[in-house]
Formats: sequence, C-alpha cells, structure tokens
Amino acid sequence: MTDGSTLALARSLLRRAGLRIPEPELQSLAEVLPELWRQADDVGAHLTGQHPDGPAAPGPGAVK
Amino acid sequence: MTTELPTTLMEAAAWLRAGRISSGELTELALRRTSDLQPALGAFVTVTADAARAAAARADADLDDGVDRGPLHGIPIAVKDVFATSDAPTFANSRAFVEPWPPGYDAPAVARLRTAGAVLIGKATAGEFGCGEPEPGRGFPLPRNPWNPEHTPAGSSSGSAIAVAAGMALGALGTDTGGSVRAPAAVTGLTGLCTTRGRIPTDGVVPLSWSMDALGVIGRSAADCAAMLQILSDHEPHRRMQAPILDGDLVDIRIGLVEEYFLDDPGLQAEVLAGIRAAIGVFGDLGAQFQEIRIEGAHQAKEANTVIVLAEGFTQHRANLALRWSDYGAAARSFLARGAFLSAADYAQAQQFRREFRMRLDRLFRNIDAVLLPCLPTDAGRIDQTDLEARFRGRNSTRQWNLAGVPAVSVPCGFGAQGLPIAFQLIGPSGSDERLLQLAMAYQTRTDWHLRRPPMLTSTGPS
Repeated sequence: MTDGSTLALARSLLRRAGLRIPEPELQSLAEVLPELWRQADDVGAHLTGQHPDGPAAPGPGAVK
Repeated sequence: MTTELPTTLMEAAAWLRAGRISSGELTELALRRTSDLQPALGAFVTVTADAARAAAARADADLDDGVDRGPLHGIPIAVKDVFATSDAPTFANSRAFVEPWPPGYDAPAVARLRTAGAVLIGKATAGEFGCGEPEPGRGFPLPRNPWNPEHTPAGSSSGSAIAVAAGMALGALGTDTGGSVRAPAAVTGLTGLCTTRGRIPTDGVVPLSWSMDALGVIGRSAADCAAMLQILSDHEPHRRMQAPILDGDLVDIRIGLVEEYFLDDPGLQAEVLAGIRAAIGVFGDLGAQFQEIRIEGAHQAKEANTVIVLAEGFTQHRANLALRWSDYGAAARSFLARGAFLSAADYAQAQQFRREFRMRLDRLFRNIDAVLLPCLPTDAGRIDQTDLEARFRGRNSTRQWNLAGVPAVSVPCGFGAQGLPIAFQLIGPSGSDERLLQLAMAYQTRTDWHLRRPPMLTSTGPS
C-alpha cells in the first residue's frame, strides 16, 4: 500500500504531465514510483561511485 | 507439389533452386498453415494472402527467367506490425494509435526484403507499441506459444516468432529495444538476432524509444538469420548467397563467461544453466578459448535502459496518453506513464552512464570476441501468471546490450523445467553481427535444438 505522500506526489507528477488517471490505476502507478527512483538513483550513484544512501562526495559528481 | 514445408529458410532456398518446390507452392503451404493455426496461436494481425500470392508468382517467373535475387527470393517472411508496409495498415497492436498508418509506403527494411524477392505473408502480432501485453477484447489476436498455447510466446515481437516456429513463415522481421526479438525467439526454440543499433534503418517503424530501438530478425537457424541480415544490412540484394559457416575451427575465438550477475542469478532455472554449460562444452570442442570476465555495472545498465526507454516512450506518447488514456491497453499505459515520474537529470544520468558502459564494453571486446550468457532465466511462463512488476524489478540479461547498441543473438540450447525451449545468448562488439551468427552457426553444426518443432505441428497436416 502506497503512503499518502507518495500517492500525492505521483498524482502531482502525472498532472504536470497532463495525465488525469483514474484512482485505482493511480494507486498502482504510485506503487512503482519508489522502485523507479531507486533504479534511477542507482544509475547515478554508479557513475560516481556513490551509494545513494551515502554522503555526497566532494567535487563534480552525479548531476543530482 | 510437395506437401512438406522445408525446415529452414536456407533449405527452402535450395529447394527453390533445385526445382523441388516453387515459391507459389511454398507460399500456399505457409498460408494454409496460417489459416489452420491462426485461431489457436494469434500470430498475425493482418494476413496479406493476395499480395503474397502475387509476389510468389513474380518470384517464380523471375527464377524461370534466370533472375535470382538472392537467398530470400520467393521465401515467405512475416513482418512485425510496427513496420509500415505498402499492402496493409500498421496498427502497432493499439486502439490508441491516432490513426493506424495506412498502406502505401514500405519502411526501408521492408522495401529491401521486397526488392530481394521475399514474399511477405502478413503483419505479425506485437506487444502494443512494443511495450504492452496481449489483452482479450481489444480487437487483436492473442499470441500464444506454439510449444504450449497456455504459455507466453514472450514479446514484443511475439507474432514474428510464432509465425516462424509454427511454419507460417520461414523468417521474420522484428524490433528489439530490451529483448523483444531475442526473448520470443528464445521461448519458441528459434534463433533471434538483435542487430547493431543503426545498422538497419528504423525509418517507417513505429518507435518505442528512438535511441534504443534496433531491428532484428528471427529464423529457425543462425544461417537463416544471416541470410536476412545480408539483405537488410547492405542493400545489395544481388550479391551471391553466402553461408559462411565456421564448422569446426574456432581456435582463434575467445569467449567471455560472466559468473557475477548473469550465471550466478538465483532465478536461473537449473535446465538453463545446464544448457549453457553444455553449450560451453560444444564451443570448447570446436576449439574456442574461454575467459572468466566481469562486466561492471551490469545491473545499472539494465536500469539505465529502463530509465531511457520509459523517458523516451513517455515523450513519444505524452500528448496521446492525455487524450486517449483508456484507448491504451492497461499494460502499455502503465508502462509509458512511468516516464512522467522521471526527471531530466534521471534521463541525462542514464545517457551518461550509457556512454561509460559502452566504452567499458569497447575495452572488454579488445580481448575477447564474444560473451556467452543466458538469454532468459527460465522457459516460458504461463500466460495467466505473467508478472510484469517482477520483470521491472529483477535481474535481466538482455537490456544491457540495447543500452550499448551492440549486437546480440539468442540461440536455442535445450528445454526447460516445463518442457519448453530455452536459449543462451552471444554478445559481440558493435558491427560484429555476422561474426556472432557465424559462432551460432558453428554451434548449430553440432546440435539440433534449432531444428526441433512444436508437437502441435505434427497433428495439423503437412509439416
């Protein structure tokens, strides 16, 4: 079950993209959001050798 | 007239030239098989029987006149329903297409097949826009695995694989953005090549991810794939038929094996691992040398492929999703809408990673000729147990090579726990498509997995 803030965030991002999605489908989509962000962050972390949960390395690094 | 369809494309080409069969007869056999099995297997969205018969008649007339257009001359071929063709509309298996592409124009890849004398049987069923799953009630056939119709033929070039596995065509054209040619070929006992990206033009093909989409071919054998590649890649259809088989001398070939992430995957079926070990033995007997290697960032490469495909796919469909959400199938819209969750930074980082991963592979391929890996971890699952989210989260052995844009071929190597085909995969450096197929051909001179046919074919008349 997705928490309220993730659901609100998913709704907001989809609306920003122009999508009005029925609530049950919004719920399902919101459930994948954390995993998708984890994957995107994992790619970024690999670029600089940083773990996504670790401290930021000094100097130029990942772009987020 | 023979009532027996040749097993491979190359065999059919030889039969044609020996006068053992005509293109008209080949085409009738393929169309009859299609008519018999289409209800059960859902291979085609559109069958272009009249155009096929006309093309076959031209092919026969040409051969009678001494005009030989090469290995695909007179051969029945299926084309995934994402390629524009002059004789049938293109739906991309979607009700959300603003307007299906009307007939009247051949994608360059299709035009090359026609110029080479191929007989196009029809437009093969696909995953919706290359990312959806079959759904009943949407007006498109439900693709099923000829080895067991309760099991999936995988996707998204589902119909292309079904058509070849069930003898409705002797070769097929598909597209591959993350495994969409290799996976269907693997689960139907066929050979499937994802070509070096950019080698064959993607113009006239409904896109999923413009920087990731690559064209591919599916055939029963690697030699069949080589024949199609020859025609598609260089637009010299009058070149002499070539079947450059490395038949027993691989002493200069170095093959990389990757334990970490790929062979140590806990989800790998024991039969798949055994098939790969047996393949290593075959290549070893042929003289190949093996080297243990590491591919750093293999899992992140899979993730970067996901990020880029979602971002580009969403960009492609954003306006249409907003207008026609309910016209998309549930799987396609769920997949595409995920792109809205990604930031520009996510996309840029994935592209940056991609560049580094490609350079990493370039360095790797200075010392080895190919990498041997699993294609899929298991044989085909049941259609009613498809788990899209597990695929999204789990390990994967196909998407990394799309990210790098290098060629990859899936090669049948046995049967899995459920008695359905399994395959290994060979990866090579950019532009090594023919070399990979040569290695696969060498393997296929010592094995016959690629010649096995689904049991259902023995009970539907001529085989």
